[in-house]
Amino acid sequence: MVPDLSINLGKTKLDNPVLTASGTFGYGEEFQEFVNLNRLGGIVTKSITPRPRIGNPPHRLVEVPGGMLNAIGLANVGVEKFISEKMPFLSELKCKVIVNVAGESINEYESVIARLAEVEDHFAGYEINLSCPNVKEGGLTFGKDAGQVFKITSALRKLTDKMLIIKLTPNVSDIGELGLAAQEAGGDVLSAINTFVGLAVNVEKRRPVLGNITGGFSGPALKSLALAKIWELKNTVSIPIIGIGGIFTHKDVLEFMLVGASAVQIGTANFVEPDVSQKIVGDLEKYCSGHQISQITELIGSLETRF
Amino acid sequence: MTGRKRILQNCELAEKEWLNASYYRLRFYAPEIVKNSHPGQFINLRSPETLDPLLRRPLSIFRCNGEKGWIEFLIKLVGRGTQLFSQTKPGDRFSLLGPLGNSFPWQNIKNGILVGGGIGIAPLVFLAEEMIQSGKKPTLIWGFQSKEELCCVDKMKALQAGIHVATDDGSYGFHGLVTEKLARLLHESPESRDATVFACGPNPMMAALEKICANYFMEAYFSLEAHMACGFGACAGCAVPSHDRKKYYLVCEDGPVFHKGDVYFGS
Repeated sequence: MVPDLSINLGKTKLDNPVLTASGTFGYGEEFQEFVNLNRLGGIVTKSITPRPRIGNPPHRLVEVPGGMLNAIGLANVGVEKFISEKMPFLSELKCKVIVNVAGESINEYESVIARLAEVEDHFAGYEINLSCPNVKEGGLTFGKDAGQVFKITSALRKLTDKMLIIKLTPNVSDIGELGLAAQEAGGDVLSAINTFVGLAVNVEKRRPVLGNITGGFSGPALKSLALAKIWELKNTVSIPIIGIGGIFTHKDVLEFMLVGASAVQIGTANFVEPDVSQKIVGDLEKYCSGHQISQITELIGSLETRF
Repeated sequence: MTGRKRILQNCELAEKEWLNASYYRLRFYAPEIVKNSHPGQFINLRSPETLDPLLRRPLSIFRCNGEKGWIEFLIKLVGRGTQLFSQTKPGDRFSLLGPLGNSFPWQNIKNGILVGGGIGIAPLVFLAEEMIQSGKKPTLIWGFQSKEELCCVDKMKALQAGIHVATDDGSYGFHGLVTEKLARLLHESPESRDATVFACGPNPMMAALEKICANYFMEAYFSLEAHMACGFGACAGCAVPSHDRKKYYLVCEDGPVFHKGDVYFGS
C-alpha cells in the first residue's frame, strides 16, 4: 500500500506536506542538482520586492549555539527580473510554486501582487512576508500589529483569488491575535514561524558580529519554540497552518503535524544538507507505510493531550 | 551553474596528519570531486553525525591527485568546527559538497607570484603544484606569525618552487609582512613585475597587495573567505561589497577568487 501523503491548504491540494521555506531555497533552480523538485509538495521563493534589493552589509550570517543568525536584508532581483529570469524555470515545475512577497509599505505589497497577478497562472499562490526582522521598513513593523495584519491582508485579498498565505512572526506576545486578524481579513493559510530576533557579539572587537546588529535566529533550537506557537495558533484559528522552525527530519515534520500543522516548510536544513527536503518526503512515505497510516492527513492536530 | 558539476557525497576520512601545533591535513578519496576540481575552488564539509556544529565549513582545496583520486584540506584550528574535524580519525564519515566557486585563472599567464598569509597558503599549494606540473615556475611569498606556524615550506622547496618566507616576529626568513617582502622583490627585480599575483590571506594583507600591484600595473587575483551557510548561492550570506560599494558579490558564486579592483577590502 502506497500511503497518501497529499494534504489540502484551503482549495489547493499538495502532493505531500513538505515545502521549502522562503530565503533558504533561492529561486528553486539553485537546488535542482541536489533535489528532484517535483518530489516536493511545493517550494516558496525568496521574498520578491517591487525593485531589486542589494541586501545588508556583511557579516550577514553567523553560527550560534543551536542554530544560526541571518540578516540578509531581503536581497532579491525585484519583481520584473523575477518574472523575466526566474519564472521560466519555475513555471516548468510540477510541484506547487508559491511566491513570497515583501515590501516597505502596503502599496509596495500591492504593486508586487498586482504585477504577479498578470502572470499568476504559473503559481499556486502567494506567501506574504509580514515578519522579516532584518529590514528597517515594512516586514516586521506591519507584522507585529494585528490591525496592520488585517489591513494588509484585506488589501491583498482584493487583488487575487489565488491562495494567500500570511507568514507570521514569533516576536510578539500573542501570535494567536495575528493569526485571527489574517483569517478574518480573508487569508487562506497561515505560515509560522519566521525567525526570532537574536544578537551575536564579538567580545574582542566589542562589536556585533552582524552588519545589521541583530538577525533572525533559525535552526534546530527553534523547533520547540515554533511548536508552541503552532499550538497557540491551532487553538485560535480554523484556517490551515504551515509549520516552520528547526525541521531537519521526517520526525520533526510529524511533530508539527500532530500539533496541528497541515504542512511544513524546511528552512535552515537546506543549507546543511541540500537534498534534505526530498529525503524527508521519502522518509515520511516509509513512516506512513510502516505505521499503517493510509492518509497522512489523519495525523493533523491529533496530539493527545489528556493524561 | 552550467558547465560545472557539484557533487554531494559522504566520504570516509582516509588520513589525518598534524603539520604543526595548529595546522592539520585531511585526506579523502573522492575521484568524482577531484576530476572536477581546479585551484581556488572549495568544498563545503560537515560531519553527518551531528547538527552541532550546524553549518558546513567551507575549505579551500589544498591538494588533489587526479590519478589516485584523493583530495586534501589544510585546516587551522580556529573554532568549534575545525576543533571537531581535528578530533576525527580515519574511517570517520564526512559529507563533502563541491567543488564550489570559481578558480584562479592561471593557464594563460606568463608567470605567477603566489602570496599567502597563514592558512591562506592552502589554495596556493594546489595552484603551485598545477603550475609547476605544466612547466611554469611560480614564485611563492608566504607569511606566518612565527617559525612555529611554518607549513609546507620544505615541500615547496622540494618541488623547486622559488619560495620566500616572511615571519611577523623574524624567527624565520624575512622579518616583516609578506607585502613588504613582495614590494622589496618587485623593487629589486623589475623582471618580476610581468608576473600575475595570486593571493589568499587576511583582508588587510589583500588591501595592501592591491595597492602594490596597482603601483606596478600588475594583474592580481585574490581568494576570499566569508561566513557562509550553503556555498552555492542560495543563502546570500557570504556577501562582500563591490569596490564602489554600490552592490555586493557572493563569495561562493562570484568568487572566491576576485580580480583586482572588484571588491572593497575595507579601509
